[in-house]
Amino acid sequence: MDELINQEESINELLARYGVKFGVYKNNTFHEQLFPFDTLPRIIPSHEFDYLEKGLIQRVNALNLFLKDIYTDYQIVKDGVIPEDFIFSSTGYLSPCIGMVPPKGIYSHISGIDLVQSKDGTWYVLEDNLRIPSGASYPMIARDLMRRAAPNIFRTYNVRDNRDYAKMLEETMDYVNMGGINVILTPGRYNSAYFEHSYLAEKAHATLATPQELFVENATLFYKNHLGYKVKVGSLYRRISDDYLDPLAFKPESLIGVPQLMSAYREGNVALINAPGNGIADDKGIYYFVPKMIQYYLHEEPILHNAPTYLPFYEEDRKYVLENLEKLVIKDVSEAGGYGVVFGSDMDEEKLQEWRDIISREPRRFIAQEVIDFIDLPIHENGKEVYRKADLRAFVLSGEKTRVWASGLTRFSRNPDSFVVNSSQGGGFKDTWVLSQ
Amino acid sequence: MKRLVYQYQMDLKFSDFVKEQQFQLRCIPQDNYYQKVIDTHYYVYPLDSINKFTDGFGNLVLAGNAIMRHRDFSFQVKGVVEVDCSSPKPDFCHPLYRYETPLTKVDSIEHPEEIYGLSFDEQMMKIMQIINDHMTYAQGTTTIQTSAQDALNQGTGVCQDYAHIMVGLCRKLGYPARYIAGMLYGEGETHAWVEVYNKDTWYSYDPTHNRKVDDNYIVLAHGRDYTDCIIDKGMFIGNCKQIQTVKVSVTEDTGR
Repeated sequence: MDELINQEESINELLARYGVKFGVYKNNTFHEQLFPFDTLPRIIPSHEFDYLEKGLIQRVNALNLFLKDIYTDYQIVKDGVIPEDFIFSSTGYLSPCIGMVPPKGIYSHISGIDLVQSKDGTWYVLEDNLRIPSGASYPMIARDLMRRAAPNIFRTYNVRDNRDYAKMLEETMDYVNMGGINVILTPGRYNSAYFEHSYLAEKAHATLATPQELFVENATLFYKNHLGYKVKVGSLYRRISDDYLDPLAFKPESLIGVPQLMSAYREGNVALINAPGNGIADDKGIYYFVPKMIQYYLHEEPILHNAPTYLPFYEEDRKYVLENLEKLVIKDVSEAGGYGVVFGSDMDEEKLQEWRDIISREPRRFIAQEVIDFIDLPIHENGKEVYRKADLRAFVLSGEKTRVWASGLTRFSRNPDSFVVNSSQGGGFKDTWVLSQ
Repeated sequence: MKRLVYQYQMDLKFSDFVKEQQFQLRCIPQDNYYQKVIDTHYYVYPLDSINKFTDGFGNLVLAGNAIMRHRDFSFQVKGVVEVDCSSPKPDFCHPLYRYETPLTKVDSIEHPEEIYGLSFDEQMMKIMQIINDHMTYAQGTTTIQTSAQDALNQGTGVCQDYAHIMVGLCRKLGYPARYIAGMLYGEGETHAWVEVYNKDTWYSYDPTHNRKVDDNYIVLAHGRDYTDCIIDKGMFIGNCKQIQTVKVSVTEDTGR
């Protein structure tokens, strides 16, 4: 492993040179930050990954069935499994998507499922990301550089090859393509994940386009190439959030959308990856119900565990939350990216009371979870080995079949006291090795 | 039963040239549980491409664009519709119509106890009476962004505000309710009223006129509130002023 540690500086230099950065808007100005890479990989044994793979496929299949159900017949609501309120009063439920089944019935083509492993070895799903989960490009390029730096090591350790992500992405786009080219839509270079958009387009043989290069005519989406010729788009992997996607269907002030895109989509002339309206299924309030969805749609027992979660919406849960607030983590269901997360253990009595009042007043707005003491991974910092909290984002692709990428994004917190590993909060990342035996 | 002939005309004049205009029009009547479309013609100018699609609420939308430079834009829809309100038929209701939106949010009614003991129809009549006791019809006192509560507070508004208040109050009482954009017998502009769901059936009320809807109304679009039913939605590239004129006429077809 020393072979890897010694490469740390040169690999981070290369990552910086390749532009492996992400941008953050803070105080209205755009900053680009490097995403620090730690060369010590996270290692997942083969049998453990096989277990995760089964559980992830099951979970994503159920989530896709759920999305189809609630935008058509909402049978799961009629059968009383999920209270109506949680679906139809959620801002994630988008009326322009009602009654519309996307090509091949797939809503979440690319799912980023965030997991943590507790100290006793149990894996827990912390969050499902079914809108525009980002981050696959970072481990892709890091592995590529590591392979060049230490080619032998990947044979010695029997690491599963992860160079197939772009191919899986391409196959997924092809599978739902409604006739025409595959396009990745980026808002532009001032977006936090611009590096990823351009990298994935190149690797998956898709055309990278900005909104100005796309237009809709007769309910058909076209790409205008540099010669001015128009080419039909059959599959659009859009890296623009639902709100900004089409100013005539969503936020009218959006300047980064493609006008009339939703009419082309509703007419079935283009596949949107991921489908608009998926926000309803990765709502933190809906998370609680995912194990129930698995039972409801697949008639199977959930393989993966949710972190123990309480919904203050239910009286019994509310009582527990109010009585045990000091040991729980509270999450605002409408916030993402590590924002809106507070720990009871950080609060004094006055603050706790304040939060008890807020939760009693707006029970639907929050979920509460037991704090999982998840494992620390060794990180190389200033020549020393230190231990930091880390999670894993697994990438699940749904095309003809649902498949799990034998890799993932391992993010770690650089702050020794923090459980929050999001890159927008200053974390770093590691390569994730899945062993083949 | 009545056979109505309608015409909807919209003219847009820009003070300078604009281009790449995109539009979505919800102004084509469709068959429903009390209206039957006999004939429809539409005409849009200038026009480069146009298509029809159905939105999430089931409204028919004409979507299209006028890409080249232009200073005028107009469209016209005309046709014949048969309306029969005498025997409402059961229909489907999406649960979304149970939940308030920012435009339909209202606090409460002053004397709810007066309402609870009444039959459904009496309740609706009472709600319309309450709205009319609070509101005076006055154009130009509210905008398309005025919420039901703001209109109630100031005590003035137009049909859109009356409809928002009634939708909000009905949802408060536990009845799913929706906003209707459409046309009313006579000449003038478009009109707005409400449909309230009770025992598998939508019932129509016109709070602005404080009466039940009869065979003189043609539905164009329905949704949770005004924003779901915008008859003419659009955008263009250009920096100039625009003047819009809308002319609606609905007359009875006296046979041909």
